Amino acid sequence: MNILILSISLVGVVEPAAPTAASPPPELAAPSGTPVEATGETSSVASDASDHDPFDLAEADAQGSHGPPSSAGSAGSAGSAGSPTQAAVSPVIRPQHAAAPSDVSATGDGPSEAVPPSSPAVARKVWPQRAIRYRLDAALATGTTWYQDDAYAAFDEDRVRTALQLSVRGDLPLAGNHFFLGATLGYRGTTSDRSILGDELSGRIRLREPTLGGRLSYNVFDGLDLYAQADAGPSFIETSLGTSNSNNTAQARVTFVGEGLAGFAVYLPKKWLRRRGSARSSVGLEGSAGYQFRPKIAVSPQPGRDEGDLIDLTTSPLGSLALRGALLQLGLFIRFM
Amino acid sequence: MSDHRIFPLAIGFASIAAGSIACEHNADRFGQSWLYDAPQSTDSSLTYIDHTHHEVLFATPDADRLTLTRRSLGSADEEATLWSRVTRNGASLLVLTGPVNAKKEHVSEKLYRFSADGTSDPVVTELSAPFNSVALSPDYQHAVLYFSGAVPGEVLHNSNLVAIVDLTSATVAHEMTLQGFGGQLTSVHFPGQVADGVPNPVLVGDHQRDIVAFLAEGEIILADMASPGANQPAVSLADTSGVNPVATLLRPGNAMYPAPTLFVRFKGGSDVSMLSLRAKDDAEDAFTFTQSLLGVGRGTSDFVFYDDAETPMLVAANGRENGLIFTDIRTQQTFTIGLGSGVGSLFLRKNESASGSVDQAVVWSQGGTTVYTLDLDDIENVVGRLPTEYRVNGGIRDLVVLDNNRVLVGAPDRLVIIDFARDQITPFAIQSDYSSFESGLYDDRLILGSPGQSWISTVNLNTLAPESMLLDDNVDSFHFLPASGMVVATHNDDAGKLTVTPAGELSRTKSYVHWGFLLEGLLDRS
Repeated sequence: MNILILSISLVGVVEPAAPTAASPPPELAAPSGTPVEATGETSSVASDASDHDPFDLAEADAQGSHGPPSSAGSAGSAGSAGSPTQAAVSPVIRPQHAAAPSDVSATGDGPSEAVPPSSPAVARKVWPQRAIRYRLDAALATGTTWYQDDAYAAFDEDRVRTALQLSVRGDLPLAGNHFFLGATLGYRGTTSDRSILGDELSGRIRLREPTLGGRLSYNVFDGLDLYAQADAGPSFIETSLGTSNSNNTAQARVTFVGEGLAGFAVYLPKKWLRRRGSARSSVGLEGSAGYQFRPKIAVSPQPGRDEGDLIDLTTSPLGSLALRGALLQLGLFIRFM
Repeated sequence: MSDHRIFPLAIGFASIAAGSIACEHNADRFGQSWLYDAPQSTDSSLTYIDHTHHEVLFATPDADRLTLTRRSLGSADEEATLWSRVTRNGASLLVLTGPVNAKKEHVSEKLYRFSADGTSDPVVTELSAPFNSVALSPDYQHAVLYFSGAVPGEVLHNSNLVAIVDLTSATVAHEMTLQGFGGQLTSVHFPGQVADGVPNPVLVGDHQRDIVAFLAEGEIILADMASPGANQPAVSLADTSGVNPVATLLRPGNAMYPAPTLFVRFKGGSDVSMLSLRAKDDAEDAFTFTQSLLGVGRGTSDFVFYDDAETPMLVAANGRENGLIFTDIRTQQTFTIGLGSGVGSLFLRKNESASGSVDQAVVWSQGGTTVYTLDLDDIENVVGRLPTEYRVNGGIRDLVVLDNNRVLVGAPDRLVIIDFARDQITPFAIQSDYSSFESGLYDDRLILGSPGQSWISTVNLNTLAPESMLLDDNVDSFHFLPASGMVVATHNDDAGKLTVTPAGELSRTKSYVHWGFLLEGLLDRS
């Protein structure tokens, strides 16, 4: 990592301290590549953010604050500003205009005794606004479905089922940087059971569903997205019925699950993040509502049987099950961009 | 997205969610048990009364699959099933329903008559009382509904009210109050019908009468099912013969003794009442009887009538006398032929011998060790005729008449087939107790099954070669369905499990197990 830091330093520019009252505040810093006059701590500006790996910047920042290059920050003092060695090591550090007593005397704004006492040089890093070229989210959400078909009550007490869902998604900005279009990949699994028919039998159902979908987001402002999402995938449904005579039955079915959601995502905007316009990650929460659909399936579990020469078995269907209904999702996500 | 688009979407979603939540608050339809009665078999189906849904489930097997048919018995909220019974020929299932509780006073009792497989609409007969017992005539033509003992939940009921239902048509039931002496009705007999499926009316005066006998404490009342409006002759027997009549037998009139005669046996009594029926002189469509007593001694447990060449006789099996007591019904003279220990039950068969066909008495008793046969031809003139004895080691638990020549005897550790024509006794060792074995006869094959066993067995009655088929589960109940020739063994499973195998060829490869038929449609039922 030190090698990277070194490479950044080598491509920097060393300028003499040139304090000026017209310098813009840090948050209004010029775009990448523009020398920025800093007012706080040691500031390090990449000559062209688009040409640099942002993680290099992070390392540079860390090192600039605490490591050996930080000593270059002391170049804000007049005594060291002209040092070729220092310039070569800390090319993007610019001394603060109010930090050097020599500058005060140079402007002739007042006697030297009116100058505030000399203070340590304070430089502040300025993070350029970095355009978002992609977004990659990892999300953990709980999805609650109100199943319309009361046949589901044979497997769950209340017909309202909450499932934990993991998903990753990525999207790219469309023209204008307000719309993002991307894909999601998710997985959820849930199991429920209950005693039925006067505790004579027990019903159990297990769902495992990997899903793939698309998502269209509208960035209202930095920190709030509205989105619409559609997911689909195979639904692995296992149903079983246990009787008090220990004749357990089971059935595994593969069917289809599809769902449509509309919701919002709120997340920490860049300006709240330490790296501001150059922030590469954020966290947020999201909520959505929609409808989840699965085709109606016939439930006809088969009794478990021992190995051997058994008499042929036929079974009666227990009926049909349509797992569909309103869906509400709430979750947390971490975003990389 | 503009507001006018968002709003309908929000409304739509709210509707879906509200609908889902509303469904959630419905009663838990999976919490209640599904209550079924034990199965009964018609000649083609197993029938289950589903008390939860107030339905009848018909499970009809064929060689490949099980067909299920459900028939409603009315509203489960208002009506309940009181009892059900398969008719003696297996052609119908009778179900009596009534109000589910006393508050449903607008609900009347109904008798449903379903076909054997439930595929056709039932015949429904309205009744006026929740009868708790039914007697089915051996000729398959009538059902007589009556009260036997107290009726739970009934504050007041007419214990002498009966209903005669014609099972051959859809006519209304004939309800009537017995014109007796107030004794509590205990049983209903059809004394003239001695063979299944054979109507046997007797000629009383100018009328063919289908006599039904109502046995009550200390009395007996007669009625004519062919003419239910006719009078009901009754007699109090407590002072003459005994307290509780337990058995009846009707002898049609013939040249030897023209009057049709009803014999009544009493529990613990030493006499048999003989009621000679005749038309009532002073009334139209009325009949009456003349009573006399036949002394047969205490210990008589069964009787038949038999006409010797010249003598009409009553033959009584008497355990105390260890023999048969023959009584001339004209002169009341008696004689006894001793058999040995173990005399209890009695029936007649035709014995084909070199001298021709003769009547033969077959005598046995539960707990006894011997089955006796005694030729009855010219019995009153033969001195010292000895019975033929067939010994059954271990004791007789039950005896099933297979046909005119063969009986099946159950013993604790064996089954025995006695072939009277061949004078042959064939024991079959069994692995465990067949105390309550069920049997069926299919062509020349005897089908056997017993609860608790995991086997269904068959015996070829020509070769007497047994064959058994191992099931995958123990038998809970055993049924032979003659119409389809299938044997059905049910197994203990809450969801319903049975094994079907063809009676003609017991084979695992030709059998199948069906599971879950009691819960079919569980998820779809409301």
